[in-house]
Amino acid sequence: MLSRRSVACALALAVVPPAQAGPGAAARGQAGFPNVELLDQHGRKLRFFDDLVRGNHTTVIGFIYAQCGDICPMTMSNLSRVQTLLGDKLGREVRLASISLDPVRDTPVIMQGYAARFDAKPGWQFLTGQPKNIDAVRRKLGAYDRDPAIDADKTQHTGLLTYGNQARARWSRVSALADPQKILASITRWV
Amino acid sequence: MKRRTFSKFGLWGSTGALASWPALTRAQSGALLTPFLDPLPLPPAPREIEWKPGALPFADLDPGAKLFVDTSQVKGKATFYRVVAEVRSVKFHSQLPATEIWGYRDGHPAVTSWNYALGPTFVRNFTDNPYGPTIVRHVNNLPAHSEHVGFGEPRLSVHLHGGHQPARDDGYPTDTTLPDGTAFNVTYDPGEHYDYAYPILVPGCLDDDRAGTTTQSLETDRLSTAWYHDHVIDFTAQNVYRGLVGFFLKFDDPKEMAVPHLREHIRDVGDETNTQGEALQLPSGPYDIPLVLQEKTFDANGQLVYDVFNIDGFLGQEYLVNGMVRPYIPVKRRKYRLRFLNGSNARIYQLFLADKNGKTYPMTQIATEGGLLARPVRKRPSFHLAMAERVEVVIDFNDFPHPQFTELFIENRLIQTEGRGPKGKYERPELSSRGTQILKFKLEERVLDPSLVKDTLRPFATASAQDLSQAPIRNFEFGRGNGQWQINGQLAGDLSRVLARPILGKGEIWRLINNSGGWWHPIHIHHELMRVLKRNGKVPFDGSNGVDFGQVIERDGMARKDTISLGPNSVVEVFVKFLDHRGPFVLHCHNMEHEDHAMMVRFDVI
Repeated sequence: MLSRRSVACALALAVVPPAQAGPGAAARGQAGFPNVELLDQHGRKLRFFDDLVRGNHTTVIGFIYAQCGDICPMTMSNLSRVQTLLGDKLGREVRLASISLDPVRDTPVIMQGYAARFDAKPGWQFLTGQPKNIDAVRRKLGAYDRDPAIDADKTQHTGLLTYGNQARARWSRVSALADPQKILASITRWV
Repeated sequence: MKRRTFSKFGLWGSTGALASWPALTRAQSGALLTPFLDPLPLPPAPREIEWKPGALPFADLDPGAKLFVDTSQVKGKATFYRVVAEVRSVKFHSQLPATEIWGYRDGHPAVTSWNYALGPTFVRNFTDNPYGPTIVRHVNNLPAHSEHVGFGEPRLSVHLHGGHQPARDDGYPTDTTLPDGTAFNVTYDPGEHYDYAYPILVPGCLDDDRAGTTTQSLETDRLSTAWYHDHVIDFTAQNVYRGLVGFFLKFDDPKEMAVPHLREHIRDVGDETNTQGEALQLPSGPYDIPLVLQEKTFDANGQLVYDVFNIDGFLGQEYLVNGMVRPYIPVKRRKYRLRFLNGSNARIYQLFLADKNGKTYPMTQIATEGGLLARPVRKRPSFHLAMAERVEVVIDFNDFPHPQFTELFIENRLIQTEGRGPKGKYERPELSSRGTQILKFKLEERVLDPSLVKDTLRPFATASAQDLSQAPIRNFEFGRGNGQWQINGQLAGDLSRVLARPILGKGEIWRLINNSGGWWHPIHIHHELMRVLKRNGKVPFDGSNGVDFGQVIERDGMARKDTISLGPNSVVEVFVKFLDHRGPFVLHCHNMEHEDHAMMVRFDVI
């Protein structure tokens, strides 16, 4: 990855953007993914990049929160169906991760209960953690809005599933409300 | 640093993507790449694959494409081409190392090298013979799914954007099953190919059983600048950014002047010396130049950088024309026809002709993506160009005498710092006093110029009062909810859902509504050209009404459109009538990240 110094003409840029590697380099390093600490529904610590993203599997990431009454129950029921459709691919070729947008209230205990509601099996993780860590993940994945008022509305970030295989540096997204078969077809395209 | 300084380096445009921006790339120090060092690339036409009666060039020609081919050549002769999508390395600038891209190339067996970023520029004539199609075998030589690392998806589907072709040949984004249960498999994987039939007939020439009826044919619907690009679902932005783009120019066939009912329509024959009939004598040959504007970001090794997590719209850090960073082109002091295409993922342009001091000069607009205007609009100060839109202008470089003028520039002055769209409204775009020069003209000697821009180009009738009064009205309201695109309040992008079923031969009024504040959406309707009736309740600009601040010339009777630039909080009302080819087609936002983020609707012509 480039270090800032290596660019000969270091212009006085108004904003210095966060570093991210190109398509080739992305497969090798951390590729700009925050390797922040998160907690799963059992209270176990894990690192976002090292433990979730890194490797030759597809990671499917969605944002939810336990008190979300509107869209989340629909998206979660949908994901539950996708979980069933995945069969034994779950946890191996495909890993599901639902990350809380309300980490202060969504303690691991709450997330465990939430996971149970949707019959989550191993391979579908429910993650919470420090707000700044979750924010870093959310921003990296593009689940934010430039309009601060809209960005503050958690429901605006609950509709999308971002999925990718980092070993192949391939990423895309699919609606969490799409037909479960369509979701399945998307998230298994690199399996 | 002030914006002006940024713009000088072509940099400020990229700052909008900063939150997830790749960065300290070589290109970020845009000043490293000296502008106007490299000549404008002009990819040649592909070579036709010769064939004799009874011996098709492709023995295994797909039956769908074969429908238009008379193997005996008695009823007409199909013209065959082969185009290969491949990994190759090209120079995007002489100061950059070679960059690995995915590109189309001429796959004719005799063509051994292809050093262009763009694919071959097709140059084809309209025909009135259903058995005179252009057949293109597109071959996918990209790496296998299991081998490819990086952004992009090596499954392909080619959309001839500006073509009028059957559904199977239109680059529908995904395989599906049609309502009658038949498989509709239109994508092709690495190692596979797909045969596309482009009849290049005017709309209404065929009935859907292709028996042929000309009662409704729209001889005036002859668009001139089309392009082809990958259109596979969810990955169009990535694949087009990787390079899968080429031009497809269309002309009238001068031989058809001999056909009495066609004679008056044979105007744009691509030969400025042809003075017969209604031939327009527009600048032609080396004086007719297609220009695709794109943006890319390069890393320190000259490789493409793309942010797969930017779903607002990707803005690159370098401006390219025809696959070269800010090139130059030597021009004679005479008239040129310049065909501008916005092939960028998410940047909208406002283009000026300017000298080195920034003084601007008017241009004569002759066409939109719907083909030649009814009449030219002279003295346009600038023009708006949203993604996928085309604008053709004529510039007479003889108006710029030696020695006062030695060079001129195409300059983009629209301020855009984020993928959701430029600053300002459609009616009042925010422009900078100096923009970024993206193409330089080096003025050479004066030469003989037989070309003309006549006062009438291609006149055509507006949608009739009867058509309009009988037209059902459909709303397509583009909104946003839960961070996703919605159409008419429902989640967009489910192509198993048919949102409209327009009936063949029956016109409809479609209201394209953008209420999502701040977002711009260039809406592209496949298959048939739109007649713009109203923009925000008013009669649209046609070059004669209102002040010309460089807005889109779009009014029915003057222009036809295949892409509508929908500014924030805008409603544009268009008339569409599908005259042939039943089946599934799509309309979608041509901000390619929005498109891949499922901002797409399926409609079935029935």
